[in-house]
Amino acid sequence: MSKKTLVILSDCSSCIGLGESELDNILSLLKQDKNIGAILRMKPVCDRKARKEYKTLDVHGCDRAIIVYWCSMEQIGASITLPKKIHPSLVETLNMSLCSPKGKNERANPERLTRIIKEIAARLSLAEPVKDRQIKFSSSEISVIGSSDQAIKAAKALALHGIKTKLIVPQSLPNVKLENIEIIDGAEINGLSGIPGNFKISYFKKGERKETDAAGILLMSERCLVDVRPPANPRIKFVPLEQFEDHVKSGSRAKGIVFFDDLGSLTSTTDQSIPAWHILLESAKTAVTNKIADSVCVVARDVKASGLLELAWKEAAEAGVKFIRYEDKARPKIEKSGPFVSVKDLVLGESLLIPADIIVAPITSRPWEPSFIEKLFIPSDWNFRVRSRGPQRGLGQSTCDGIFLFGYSAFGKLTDQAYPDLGSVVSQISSFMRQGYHVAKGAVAEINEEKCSACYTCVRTCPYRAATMNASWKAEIVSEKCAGCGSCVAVCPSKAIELKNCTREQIKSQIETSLEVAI
Amino acid sequence: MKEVVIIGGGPAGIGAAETLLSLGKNVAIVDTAPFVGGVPLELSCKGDIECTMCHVCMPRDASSRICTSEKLEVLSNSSLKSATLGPETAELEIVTSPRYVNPDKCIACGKCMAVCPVQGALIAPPHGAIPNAPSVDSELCKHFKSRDCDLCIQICPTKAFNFKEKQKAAKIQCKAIILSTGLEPIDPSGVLHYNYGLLPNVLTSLDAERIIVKHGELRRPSDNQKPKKIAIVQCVGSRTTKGGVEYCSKFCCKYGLRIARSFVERAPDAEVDFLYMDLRTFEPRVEALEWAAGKKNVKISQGVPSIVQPTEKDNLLVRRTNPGDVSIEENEYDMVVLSIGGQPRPETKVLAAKLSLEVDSFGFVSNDNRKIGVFVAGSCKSPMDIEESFADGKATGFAVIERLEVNK
Repeated sequence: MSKKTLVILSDCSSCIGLGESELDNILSLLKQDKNIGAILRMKPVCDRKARKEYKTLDVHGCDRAIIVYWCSMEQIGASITLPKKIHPSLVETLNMSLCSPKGKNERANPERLTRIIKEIAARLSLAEPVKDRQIKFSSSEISVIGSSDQAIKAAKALALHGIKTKLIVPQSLPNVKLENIEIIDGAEINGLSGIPGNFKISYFKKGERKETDAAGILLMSERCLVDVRPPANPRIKFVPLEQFEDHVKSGSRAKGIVFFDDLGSLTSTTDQSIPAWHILLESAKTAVTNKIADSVCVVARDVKASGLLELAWKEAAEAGVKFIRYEDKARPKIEKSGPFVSVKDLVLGESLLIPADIIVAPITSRPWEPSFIEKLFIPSDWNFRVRSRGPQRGLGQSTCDGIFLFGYSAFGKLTDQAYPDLGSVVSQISSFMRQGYHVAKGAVAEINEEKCSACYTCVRTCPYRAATMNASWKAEIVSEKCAGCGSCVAVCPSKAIELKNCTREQIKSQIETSLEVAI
Repeated sequence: MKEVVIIGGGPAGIGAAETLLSLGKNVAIVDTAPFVGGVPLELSCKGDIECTMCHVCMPRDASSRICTSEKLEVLSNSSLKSATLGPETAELEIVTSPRYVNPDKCIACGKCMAVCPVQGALIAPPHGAIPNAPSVDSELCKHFKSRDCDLCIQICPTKAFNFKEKQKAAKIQCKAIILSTGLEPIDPSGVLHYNYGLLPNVLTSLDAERIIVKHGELRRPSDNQKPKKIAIVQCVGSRTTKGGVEYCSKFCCKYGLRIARSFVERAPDAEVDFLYMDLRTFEPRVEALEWAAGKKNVKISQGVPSIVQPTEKDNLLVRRTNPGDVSIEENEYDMVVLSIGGQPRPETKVLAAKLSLEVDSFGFVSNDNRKIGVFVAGSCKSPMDIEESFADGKATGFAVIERLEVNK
């Protein structure tokens, strides 16, 4: 079993005053260390020479790595493709910050450098290797939770790529059959247990509690869609935007139709709107051209006809659709006395009374229902917005391995923006399934109570809700929930948190619990 | 023999390459620029104490993840000369202009940059660019003019310079082609009333980002001082029939709000006016606008300026109509930042014709030809921001795999 460290030195040592002979000296000193298996010098970005050298060195005998950068600029974003055997949690990045972009170069101290690298290598050697922490997937299925056309499209795409797919939908769909896809209909999700690769989803079907296995979960959007109906006025009919086409077909005439961009603007219960603008503009245009109403108005905060939709907006305006804009402070109201909507026009600065027999609006959405997120233990921030890996939100994967987001579940966007995501999410799921194993956590955060100032920063930051305050006003980490991600270590202002390597027993117990779930 | 050739190495091209490489395909990226990375290479990170999700680092991180892959070939300074399309394989003729620096030898130490006597003759690799080596501009370089300068050759520790390099032409066979040429920034000098190019402190957003990249903060070009009061003007060159394009460029609201935010967080006593026509943001409604609502020195108001005039000390007088009460407002600013939109590159039309694709009246590619393995990704289809175009690239990469693997 190898416990060797690969040291990668950024290859611009000449500009910080390290000559070749000094560097050779460092390398020979490091090679004597029993924890260091191989040393590689390479450019931080795109190095073909190092690619060749990779093959000659015993890189693959190492299962942990230290990357040394000389200057402060290189670290931002620059990363090196490491052998797959090295898990990201066992890679330590060392930034010497010796030269700055403004040209103030310091001379490197070879002795200090050698000492630091040796220390890190010794610390890394205490962590258990990734090979011993692998937990094989017990299931080979992906559960798609959701029922919209997007969910069905995603399930079809997954099945097309040979991934066993299950579709869990809240509605009852007795007559729907899809090739290679198992459909569990009428299911209300109750909870989620297990670890990535070995999830167990429990749900209620006709009052009975049932369970199903899944390697990963793809969360779709419509669970977070909230149907908000406008205040009741018997003389006004409400038509959801998605069903407006049927209304046109029915051929009934109206005095006035008012399209809203956001029903939340009427009830002020929602904080995020996803008006499907291309459907809205198209529907408004058909309402005018089919002459089903005397007046057609679109009442909106901003006409969000972004991109090439601008042309559709112009066409609709030329056809005779009136666009009325209001301010956030003065929201439109539905009159109780008659079929009218009163709105203060932002451009004219006057209050208008618009005839409205029919109100059309897209169904508004909230990021997620907090209870749903809590049930599924999805990492989320303080406002229950689902968190995804790194700053690059919206590209499929949540902070938790094996739980993927798609469509509006990642964040609010247009329907046509959501579709390109499908390919990226499916590609992520397929590479996740190809990996075939989950790596048990190698570290747990631990708090030094003497240093803790009870500032709540870690409690707010922890995506897994593992950090809490205890009775003596000190932060505490619930080790079962902690994933060892280190985000609390990064933010703690008093530097009271440290990542401690898991012991062999802890890792063993993690694997055992996962096996229990699998059985 | 390559499996996929990607023409244009912007966010969409890199996204597609990442998907394809992760599933073990042979990929070549062809780009006319000396570095692959596209427009985001010129942009700055707009985060302050926390990430504001401007997504500039997204393609950069991806390119640093893929650049060491053995199956990737990067053809920078190259362009597509001709293409012979077929139902199974296509043959592309690619012309590569000389770079005069061998990227395999270069260690990016930056010594040549320090000694070069002509500004702009050596182009430094922006952060996250592939390949990470400078490129020589033969039109400016002194060596090609008078043949007496060889400072860079002498100082280079690895002898990476080779001024005898010639233009190369190569034929590549491939099974699929992805066109992802993206957008180019609109030149706002056509919008006459903003006086861009005539007044030194009227900048485009791209100029402002370059200043942030260079100095780490926003500064006035006229006197190199920190501005106290700036105006950010939206919809410059977009949504107009005069000196611009008719459509909405989609990404300007997003980055405009982020420039405002990064500026105010760095200079808390400064004032920012954000002047817009319509706010067409979707996700920043929650974040950027929430942030702006909590700041007293940030004003988000509707109505774009009708004229920008010079006043004392290179300051600028901005006159605009306030749509709320139809009053005319005049304000003095230290600096005006114009949020410019994007338009399809002129070469997209030429490339599309070579690949038997159609373009619409604006120059956007309006169809793809998947039957013969020609795919289109990213913002050459319609305006997109970085994230969307990256996701679209990933999705297109996956569609290519579907063609190569599933529908054999």
